[in-house]
Amino acid sequence: MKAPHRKAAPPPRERPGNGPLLEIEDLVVDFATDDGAVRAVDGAGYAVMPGETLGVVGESGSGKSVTALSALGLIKPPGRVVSGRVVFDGTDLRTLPPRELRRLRGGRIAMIFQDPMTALNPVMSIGAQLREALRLHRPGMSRAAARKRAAELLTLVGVPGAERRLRQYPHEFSGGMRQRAMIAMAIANDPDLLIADEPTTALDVTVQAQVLDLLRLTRRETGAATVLITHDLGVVAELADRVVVMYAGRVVEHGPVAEIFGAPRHPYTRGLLESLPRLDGDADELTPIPGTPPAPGEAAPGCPFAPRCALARDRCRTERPELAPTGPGRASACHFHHELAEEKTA
Amino acid sequence: MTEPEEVLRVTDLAKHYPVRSGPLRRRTGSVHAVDGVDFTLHAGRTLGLVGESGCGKTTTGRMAVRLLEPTAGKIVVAGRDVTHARGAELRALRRDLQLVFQDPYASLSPRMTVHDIIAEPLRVQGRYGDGGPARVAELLDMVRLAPAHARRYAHEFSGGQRQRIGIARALALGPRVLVLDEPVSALDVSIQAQIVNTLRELQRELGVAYLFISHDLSVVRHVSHEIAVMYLGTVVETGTREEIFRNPAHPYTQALLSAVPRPGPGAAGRRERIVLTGDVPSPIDPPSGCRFRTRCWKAQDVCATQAPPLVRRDGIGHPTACHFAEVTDVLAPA
Repeated sequence: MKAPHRKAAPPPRERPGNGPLLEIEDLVVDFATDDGAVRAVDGAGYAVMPGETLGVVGESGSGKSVTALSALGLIKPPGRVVSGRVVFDGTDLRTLPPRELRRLRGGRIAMIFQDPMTALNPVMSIGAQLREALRLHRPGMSRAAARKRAAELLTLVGVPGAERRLRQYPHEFSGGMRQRAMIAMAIANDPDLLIADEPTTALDVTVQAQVLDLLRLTRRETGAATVLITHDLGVVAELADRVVVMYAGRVVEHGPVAEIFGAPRHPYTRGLLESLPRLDGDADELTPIPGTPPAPGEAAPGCPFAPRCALARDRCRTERPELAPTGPGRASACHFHHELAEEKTA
Repeated sequence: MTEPEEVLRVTDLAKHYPVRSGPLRRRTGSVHAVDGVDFTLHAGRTLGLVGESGCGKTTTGRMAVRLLEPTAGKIVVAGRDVTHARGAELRALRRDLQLVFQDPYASLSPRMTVHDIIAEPLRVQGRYGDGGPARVAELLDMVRLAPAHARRYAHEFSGGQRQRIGIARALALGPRVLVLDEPVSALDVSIQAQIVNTLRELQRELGVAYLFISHDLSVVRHVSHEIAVMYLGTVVETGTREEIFRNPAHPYTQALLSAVPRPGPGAAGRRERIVLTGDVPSPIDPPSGCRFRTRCWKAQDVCATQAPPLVRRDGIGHPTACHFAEVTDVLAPA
């Protein structure tokens, strides 16, 4: 199947002011530990436009999942949102009463997780869970209508024999089929925003390809904006319009996917792309990033990437770089990003 | 150039597990985890064993190092049949064959210092007394860990460093063969690349043979000289790295290669992708004939009745187990 998804993307939904659908600004999240608070997210933020797919990439501990989860009020103690602003379609989510926030989640905002077994209820049939998701957010919906819609949804996400499958329980589904069921549940209420946290990481590559196709299909069907959180740059390249690169709890670079991957303007983004083993091209030594990411809470005053960066100099160790524009619609948090532009990697 | 020395050969290796059911737990069938696998490892070379979950690659690796008893088949190490080695012979075999596990968090004892972890195989083999500490220091240096690390505990280290400790332990006895089971799958890419490079350097220095087991085709490409692709307990295609990646001829290999999302700028969208339908069938009751036929777009009647042998076919330079094998470069831009 070809994937001309950028052209096929549906027109963004009508909304006042053409602003972003979700805006996260300067988010700070701490985790309490025996040794004091550890900063997991350190002033991260991004905006998601209606209908677009935004990839959020980073390695373990970069804060990519915590940022999204805490923006939706899903972070539990010992985690705590210290400060920041989260606005969804004009509503400030941080001041929203928990009841209203719950109504948004599963309604206008839906989620897909890496492990469907944690998101599905093991003692309820798939059909019952789908019907519950539907009727919770549409009190007027009849049982019969919910049953019919549940079957439609399961068919839409490519689960064959929907009628029979609705009566089955999650453990009777394979990993890929469970992921499909969870996607059906996520799109049940026609969300405006879909948060997908490592949606294909646990799947085998041939099943991953099926689920990626399905995510393309659901985007076409629902027109929902998607935040795709993943460590897999290939998945982002296939699915996302724009990408946000996170490191040590901060956004270090963002912009259109093809531009960022084709000509990175942050040494971390470049290092990540160079350390990636490839299916084509040069098959010899990889170029790793030296060292390891800072342990959470090991905050230095300057740039968090400086200890691993070949470009780093004194200024990087004392002055924290802020995101600065490096071209139309893109920005990098590197004091010396212009040097990467001059180098021009092949 | 002379052919590198053969260090391990497995022939027709199989592992079947009994399936019992009913009140008397009678044997009602068996899981064909591995069903007739052949391969040869050469000194200083790497064979990549790739496939998806349940294809039997891990079981194959464990049988090759004699951690798991094969149901059938033969394992020959440096000319010696060790398929049924026992006791002292098996202990001696441990010097030649070692295994590195996937999860560096689970495979290292939290109660032992790094020194003791690496020294353990030497002690078990009664070789620690003869220059043990110096050997541990040498091993630490080989895997690029500092001498001071020896006194610390494994939990003080990051995932990448733990994997270095695991590799040092596996190399302690100077094995001819290292079976690496998903050694970098739990690591982030920037760290993964460090370990991959270290493994390559170690192989050049020591001439050890690797059986590199992984689900990640890109990683396998960077470490392997030869590759065997497994599906549901059997090898469906085998060849040099170039042959498998440039000239894949088995439909499953082609699907696997084309399914990997690639981050190259503009790589997406321009490619025809082969998307297989359905899931891998159960190994309890594998399909008759060709095991891949239930997901194969080329399948014909003959595929259900005749299992295609892994042989060289007309016009294809390497062995494939498909009646309709045909070379297609699925990675080339369309």
